[in-house]
Amino acid sequence: MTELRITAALRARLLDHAAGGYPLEVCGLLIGVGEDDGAALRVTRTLPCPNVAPADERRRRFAIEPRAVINVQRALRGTSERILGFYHSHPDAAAEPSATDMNYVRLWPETVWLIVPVARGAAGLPRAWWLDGMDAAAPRELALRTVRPSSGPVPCPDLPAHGGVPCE
Amino acid sequence: MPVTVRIPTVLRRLTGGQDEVVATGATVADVLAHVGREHAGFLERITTEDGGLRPFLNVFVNGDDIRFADDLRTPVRDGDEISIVPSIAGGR
Repeated sequence: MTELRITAALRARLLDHAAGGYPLEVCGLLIGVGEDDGAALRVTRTLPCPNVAPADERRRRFAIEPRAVINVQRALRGTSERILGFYHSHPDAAAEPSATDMNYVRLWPETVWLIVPVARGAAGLPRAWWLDGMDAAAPRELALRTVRPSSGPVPCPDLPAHGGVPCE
Repeated sequence: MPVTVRIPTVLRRLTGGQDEVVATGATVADVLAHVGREHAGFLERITTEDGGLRPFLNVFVNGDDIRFADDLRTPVRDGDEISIVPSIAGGR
């Protein structure tokens, strides 16, 4: 895996979510398809999820309710789309996996971890990370390429809003 | 009673790369133990020495979290689906 492809519209949606949540961390799922025999992944949609970390920690922590993953996996079953990974924001911090992030990245190898930095309310350049396996020393950065919307048909079953997890 | 167990990426090395396996048992614990007999090292990665579920792992039966049922003693039936989902969290 070397590249994550995303349209400008979806990229803007991620940045809007991150900036809109500032100074709290926001998070969600990246859904998409594989391309080029698995050498690249293309995001077909993003799904914001509630940050279920303890309320007083949400300026520096995020958590996604695992039920959201189950709900979305079940909705996508039998389609070409799947959960590619997760995104979250880093308010006033770099778009690199933190030590806290790494505790969970190691539980989700071969999964995209996209981080959107937000500096004083303005979203910056997102970066995507990938751990080749649980024994890999560190995650690799994936090239994040902005692409045109796909002309090919992508099955689009309805997804449960927020992964089916109620917002507070 | 055959039950499908969905395996997360982090555990697939222990199931020969399979993303789902079929096992039998009357409870979640029984089914996971069956998988453990077929795939060495699997059960140790799922459960603690006292038989509880390891931290940072979540188990669902047909989409329902076993924490809100009877944990690993939750009964399963023929055709049920058990999903193992690692926790998703982090922060700056």
